[in-house]
Amino acid sequence: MNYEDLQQEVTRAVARVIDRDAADIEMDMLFIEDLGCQSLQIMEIVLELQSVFGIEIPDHDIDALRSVGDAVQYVKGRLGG
Amino acid sequence: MSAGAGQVGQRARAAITGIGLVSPLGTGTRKSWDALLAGTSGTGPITRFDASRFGVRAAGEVKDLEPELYVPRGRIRHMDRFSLLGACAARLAVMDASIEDGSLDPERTAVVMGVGLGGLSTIETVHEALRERGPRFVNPYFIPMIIPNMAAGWVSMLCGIQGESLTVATACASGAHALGEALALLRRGTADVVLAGGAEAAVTALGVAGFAAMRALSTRDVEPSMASCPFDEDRDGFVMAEGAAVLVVERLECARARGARIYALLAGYGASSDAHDLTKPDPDGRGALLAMKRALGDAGLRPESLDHVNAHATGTPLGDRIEAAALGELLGDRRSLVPVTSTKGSTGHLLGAAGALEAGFLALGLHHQVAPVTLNLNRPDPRCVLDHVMGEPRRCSIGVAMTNAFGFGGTNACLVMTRHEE
Repeated sequence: MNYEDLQQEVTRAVARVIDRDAADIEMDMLFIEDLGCQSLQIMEIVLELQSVFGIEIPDHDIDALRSVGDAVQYVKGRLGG
Repeated sequence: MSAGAGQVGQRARAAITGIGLVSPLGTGTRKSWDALLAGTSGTGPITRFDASRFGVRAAGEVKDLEPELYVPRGRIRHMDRFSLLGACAARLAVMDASIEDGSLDPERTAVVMGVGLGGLSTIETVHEALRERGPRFVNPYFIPMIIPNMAAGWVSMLCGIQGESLTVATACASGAHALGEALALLRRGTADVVLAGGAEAAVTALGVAGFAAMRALSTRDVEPSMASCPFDEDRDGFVMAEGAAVLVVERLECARARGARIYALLAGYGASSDAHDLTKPDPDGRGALLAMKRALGDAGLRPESLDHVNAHATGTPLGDRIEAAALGELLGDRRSLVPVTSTKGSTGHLLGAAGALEAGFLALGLHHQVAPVTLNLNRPDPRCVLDHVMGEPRRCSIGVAMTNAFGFGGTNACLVMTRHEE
């Protein structure tokens, strides 16, 4: 999966969880401040990323996922790309 | 006493000014009521899951609900179906009561919901994820989706209610107990308006398998629309159903002050316990009879004044017979003169929502002066001698009416309503 595809997949996953149009979601957007996520929604996004990318995201990694771009970078690292 | 309180007290009657129904007969009070009077069956083949191996074919499913009309789309994914049905029924009830958005005093409004089982379908899907993929794949909304009080929680959030938010879990009596407790809240004087009812969505693989394992469900080889036949000689168990009903119950003075249409008055509430068995009713119907007497007494009325009864009768061989005997004892010489209906013939058994749905039908019956029919009752069991409403609804003068609801654990609730004449 190239980087652009990865960005798209992550954006779509986030959009599904927060019920927003993927086109309105940008890489530098912060989950809490910009997208209005509540704590359980962030956990729901983590669950969605786990399901989409077939990875497990341990608790100690979750706090670092503050923006959509953070999530893309994190998944990229975990997929070894 | 707060500024909003007027006449409250132990015997005060409350006005039923709004009814919201989401039932197998249709979404919306008018739709459900018209279908009930038209003799339509809300039960049919199970479609919510593959029931081919279950030996049970019939259920009452809600098929026409468009939840986006009542609940913001983004919230729906965080609601188990029982909460969704309950929230939609509550919105319908508020609209039916002609209560404008923002016109309720939030702190003087309360919600009481009856729920028998809670978020069964969510338990099933999340448990599957746990088993197949592991604990890190458990939905973070799992707990707030399954807890039974979340139907009341959503009603409170969506309707802006800041008074009491309570949940009654008394199995198949939950909805009736919820309405009774609503009356108690109004009499206590802490609320002017209560949204009260029940919600259930247990037509799932686990729910049906569980009741089937108890041999509680009908397995007869008949059309699924005819399987639910309370009081009939051929009855062999109940037909599970899902749905929700919420009533707007308010202090009579408040209803009059705002010129609300009043369907009926909620006049009495009686509750009791059998103290006998997990699932079987007391063989002499003592608990049921006590609840009925208490409800009538609470309304300041005697059994002689009863004009119509909506029975609990679910279609189980034992339960219907015992209820009929208890009603017979209550009515005495008038047992063949008081029209008795079990609307479960039309709807199936909505479990924790049943008592609320039937309370809604009772209020509508008082308003329109009609006793609905017991659908699929063709050959009354000779051990259930009552004045059954068969074949078609009966237009008659109804001043006082009563509805029963009994639940596993030997818990009983009975509500008495009276006609409201302007």
